Amino acid sequence: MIYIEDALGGHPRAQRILARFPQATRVGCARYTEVFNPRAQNFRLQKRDPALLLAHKHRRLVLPAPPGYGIGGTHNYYFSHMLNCVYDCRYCFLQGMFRSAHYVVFVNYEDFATAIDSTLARHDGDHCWFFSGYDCDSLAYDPVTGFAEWALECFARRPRAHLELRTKSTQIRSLLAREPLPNVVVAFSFTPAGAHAALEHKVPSLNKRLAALRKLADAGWRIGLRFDPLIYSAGYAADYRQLFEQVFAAVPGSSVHSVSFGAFRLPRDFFKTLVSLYPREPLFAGPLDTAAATIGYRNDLEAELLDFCEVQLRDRVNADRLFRCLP
Amino acid sequence: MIVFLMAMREEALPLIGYLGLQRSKQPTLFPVFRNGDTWLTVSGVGKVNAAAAATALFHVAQQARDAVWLNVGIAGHADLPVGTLRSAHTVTDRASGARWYPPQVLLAGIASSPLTSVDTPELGYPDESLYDMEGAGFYPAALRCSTAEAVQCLKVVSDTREHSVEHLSPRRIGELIDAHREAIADTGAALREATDSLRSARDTDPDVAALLTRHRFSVTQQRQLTRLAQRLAVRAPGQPLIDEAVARARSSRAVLRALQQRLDTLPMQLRTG
Ligand code: SF4
Repeated sequence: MIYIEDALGGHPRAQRILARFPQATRVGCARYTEVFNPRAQNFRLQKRDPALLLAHKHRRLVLPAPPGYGIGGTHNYYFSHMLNCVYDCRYCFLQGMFRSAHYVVFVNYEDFATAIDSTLARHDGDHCWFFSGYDCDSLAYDPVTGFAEWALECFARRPRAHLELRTKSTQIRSLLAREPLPNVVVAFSFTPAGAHAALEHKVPSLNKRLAALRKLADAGWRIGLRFDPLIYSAGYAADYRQLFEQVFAAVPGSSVHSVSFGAFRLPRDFFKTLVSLYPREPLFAGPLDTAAATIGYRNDLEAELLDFCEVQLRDRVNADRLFRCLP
Repeated sequence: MIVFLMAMREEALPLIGYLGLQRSKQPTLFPVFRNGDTWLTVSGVGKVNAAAAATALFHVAQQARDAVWLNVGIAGHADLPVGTLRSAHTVTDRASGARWYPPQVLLAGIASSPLTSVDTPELGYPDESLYDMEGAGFYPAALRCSTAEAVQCLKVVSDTREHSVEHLSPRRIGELIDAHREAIADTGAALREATDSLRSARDTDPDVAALLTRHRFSVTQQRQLTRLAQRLAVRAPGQPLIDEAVARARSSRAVLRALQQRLDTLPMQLRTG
């Protein structure tokens, strides 16, 4: 099922996406919000068979990134060509943020470019970072959205703008199809094998993602490594040691632009929603401090986990490329 | 739980028979039929009747949340073959212009169409919509009782430009529904399985009820107790909630402390069982 905002009419990108699904039932709507996120929808049920919504983003195209999201830049922003994700990570905050699991694609990419230009104009002469994987996975749905090809073209013409594509996918074709850009970082997120198997449903295997990462590094792309969220378990030390070994063996040090890490945490309201969706999920029954405004592991465990990983990562990457994500 | 809401007796009879429903002996505003947790009510024609019957049934059926609500009936369409079964991917109230979008996530196998609810029979079939007289009354009322994915309108085409509504006999109406009774019942069952999984995930340990009668828990403490019981059931499946320490506890606070202590000593596994 594909819902299309009536005003999109013959928008060429919308038409291209529709052409990929000739069998899908098409339903018109005035605004995507009529279908996405009204009361009484259940994210967990919708996740069984999400629909696609093609929409136009009118306002707030580029927004300041939350504090602690940056990787060394001073001016940090995010923009979302898409809401929701083809994967189903049990810790994903999108489940708490949205009542709908449908995929929304905002097809007016060119307006994002205009908003990026206005943002750059506000920071005359300074470099700015733009994060694209905040409300979705930047690349997982790329064969449908064609976002990466557009984004790379856009940032190739804006050297003062830096782009982070954050992904758990192996959809790297559009990146490999062109020369690497010095102002683009392709950031891959990882958790240890046990956490991946238990929590990251539909996410490609670690080996497949490492192979994709290796190809990008070989092609000259700058790589980001994201160990966020860090997931606590009884055997976390051995699990993370093994993960770090595997990941750093796959990517040459010279290709690593940045490494960031941060513990699992969620805004309290989101956490409550996730628990009501998945009350039997071990992650949410874990050693969490459920009284805090931001739910995370008990302070002692969180500190232990962060400190352990920081020590491990410091052995593998220079301090100026290592970033601890703030809660 | 499944609730079928049908406008006419003739539409309802095939499902009443197929699902083994019996007339409820409870005094009710609208006729109610039941077999276990499958309910059916006959609302009469029109939006107001449909909304009223949905509301009345919600109360008769102990206000169960997350139930499946299906409005099943006949509808007109310009040119779909008579006898075609469709779900409604939009429900529009022609009088007010209000529109709803029932999520079509659990209806594999049944094609969908827009549905327009009218106040008087639509004989011109001006577009590709199905036409009925209840959907727009039923949908918003049922949506107050359940989650949108489980509230659906299933319509069988009964009249078209070529097959006028005037030729519809009560027998023919029954036959049209009867031809799809299995598909309708299967859709209800699939939706019920999905919504049951939501409910059973929220079920709490019966020991919680026992503890609530043993000690005085404040509202906040009751919530804490329920959640602690859920967390323990996940982290230590199969172990009784009331162990020695909990049995010895002399107050609600001591119970919560004992449960929290037990939870804190369990090793954290990301997978259970
Ligand atoms: S890949 Fe990222 S956006 Fe997608 S479900 Fe997982 S955490 Fe959420």
